[in-house]
Amino acid sequence: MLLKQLKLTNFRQFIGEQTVEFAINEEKNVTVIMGENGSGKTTLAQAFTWCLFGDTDFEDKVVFNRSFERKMLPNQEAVVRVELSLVHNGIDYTIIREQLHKKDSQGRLKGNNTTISIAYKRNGQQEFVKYLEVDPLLKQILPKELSRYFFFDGERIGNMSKEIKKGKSQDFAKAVRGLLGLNAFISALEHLKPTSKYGVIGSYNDSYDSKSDQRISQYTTEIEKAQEEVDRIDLRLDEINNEIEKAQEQADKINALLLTMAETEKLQQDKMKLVNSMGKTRQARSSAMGSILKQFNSNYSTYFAKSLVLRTLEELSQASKLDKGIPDMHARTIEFLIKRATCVCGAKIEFGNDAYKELNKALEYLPPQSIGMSINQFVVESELKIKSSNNLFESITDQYKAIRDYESELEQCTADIQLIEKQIGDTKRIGHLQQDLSRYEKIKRDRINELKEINQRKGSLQTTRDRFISERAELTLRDEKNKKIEIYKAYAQFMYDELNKVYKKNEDETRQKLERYVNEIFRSIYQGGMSITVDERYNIQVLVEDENGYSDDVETSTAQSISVIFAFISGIIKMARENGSQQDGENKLLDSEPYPLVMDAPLSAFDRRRIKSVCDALPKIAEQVIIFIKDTDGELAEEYMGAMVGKRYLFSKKNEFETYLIPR
Amino acid sequence: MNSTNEIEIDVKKAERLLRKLILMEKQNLRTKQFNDAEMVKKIKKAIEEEAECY
Repeated sequence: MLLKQLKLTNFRQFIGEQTVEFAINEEKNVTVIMGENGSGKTTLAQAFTWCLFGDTDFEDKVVFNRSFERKMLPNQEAVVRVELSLVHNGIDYTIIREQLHKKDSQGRLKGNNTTISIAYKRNGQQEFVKYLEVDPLLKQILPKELSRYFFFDGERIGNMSKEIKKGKSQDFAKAVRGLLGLNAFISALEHLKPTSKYGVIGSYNDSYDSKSDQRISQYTTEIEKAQEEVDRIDLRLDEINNEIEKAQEQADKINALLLTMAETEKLQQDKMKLVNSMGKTRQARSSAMGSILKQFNSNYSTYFAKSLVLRTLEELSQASKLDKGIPDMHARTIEFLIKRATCVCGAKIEFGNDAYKELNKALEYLPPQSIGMSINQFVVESELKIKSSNNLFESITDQYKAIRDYESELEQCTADIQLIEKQIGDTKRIGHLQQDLSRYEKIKRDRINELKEINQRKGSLQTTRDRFISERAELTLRDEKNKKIEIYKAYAQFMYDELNKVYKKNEDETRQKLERYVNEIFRSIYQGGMSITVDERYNIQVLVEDENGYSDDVETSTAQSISVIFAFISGIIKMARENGSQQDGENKLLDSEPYPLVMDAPLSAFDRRRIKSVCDALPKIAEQVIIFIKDTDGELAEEYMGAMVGKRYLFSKKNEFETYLIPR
Repeated sequence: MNSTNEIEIDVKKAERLLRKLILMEKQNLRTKQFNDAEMVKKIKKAIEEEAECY
């Protein structure tokens, strides 16, 4: 596949109709489209994906130009369209995807589903691919599983890096095999496949003449039934294997996390100590606060009145008459004695005698006539209270100091706990992780058991099926017409078996060659003691080799990840290109297409030296290179690829909703 | 000769058929002339012609 032209109509910020033509000249196979950040580089790269697969990586799935939308009148219709012209297998195709939009009477824009059509030229006449054949053709032109590698987005490298290393589907492996030139083998095997009802062997099974023996058709029905169940089991086996792989992957991740958490067990214990200590400190602070309040409540009045009371006592000490009273004596006592007419000493009290006069004289100094006694009592009480409040200030100060110390201790503990939590992460997750781990391990055990059970079932079904096949063959060989069918089937079976052997051998050799190429390209971009392996499912593993020759899987940096992806896809492109240009023409068995490399911001993670390595390598490896690049990297790319650049464009951004592509 | 289920086939013929089959598939991948059902018919026809040819 080589890309010739991309025509956009109102696709996101590319307003109106805009066309980009790509360099396809062998000597000048590079197209550089340059623009500042936010000018539309990624959008243009996504236009390919939208055209081929009807989707983009943007969160906003509306691709209709906003500026054009504003100008539309109610009930007006307009389309967003992307037309991609390309050459595949020597045929010119134009892939057209469009989406009709209409503004309703209230001015809201509504988009229909997208539609796709593929036009091609046969004998100079333009024809359209039949609707049902569009998808299979797209799969051949560019399988969706591989599209993100050919339409490479340097800014979304993280996900690709994970994806390329693990967890690729069977579809991905199939797509790679197709690109590596094994498509004809795959198609032939599909057409011969003995287990398919619609394949060559299956259709022979349906064409037996049962007139000679009714049991032939009974056997055929039983064989088909058994085969259908075997097919269902095969599908389930695939699912189970994927589920086991995923569960194992999750369990490994959790185990790694738990291991890290076990290392922080000591920190966890320290944290618990701090938490306990904080509890005790809070309690101590609380009782100190209570004590302060209690002391304050009992003594505050005296404390605040102290100065006043002291001055009062001083004043009172200077009043001489206040000390003439009899302590604890009241006027009522005297009146009682006079009325009783006998004093406490036994003397008679009579009106006018000396005792009577003395007692009446004492009344002048006793309450209520005199306050001298009350004042005396006040003085005594005041002195006592003042004495008791003497230590209040010191006591409260000491306790307040203790509270301040408790506060500081609590603050310190809180800071220490935060620090520990930061180090050990969210420890609450440990419980959940253990639960998840058990769940994944259970899934694994269940699936392994299911695997055993259905494998046994499959074996028994296959035995039954083969027995019926053999019994049917015995019957069919008795009839001349059916015997012929058996002969044709035997040829088809032989071809299928041989083809499978050749395919597996070719596939193995192709994969080894791919691994060699990927390593060569990787080393030319990223120097260092690293190597790449490609397994049977085309999963990539990056190994670092130490001086003793041992190697281990490693986590890669962004620049390394991009280099790995570059190397992987460039390796595929290089092999596809080689297979496509082999000299034995029509007779060669492996056959594939050259492929372009469309890259959005491919150089952003590289340093100057690696940009040069990449720029040197890519135009030589890929048949066509299309780069969307920011101005600074673009200048470097043009400097290094110089002579290979055939087309140059510039993104001219007018505003957020209007960008124009200008040839340079 | 090779025997499958007591039926003998001519290996040379089968190998010739195999090569023809791959080239047919290659050609069809390029031209998209035949769909799967048509290709199955064509392969059957090729097998029958080759097997009948003594």
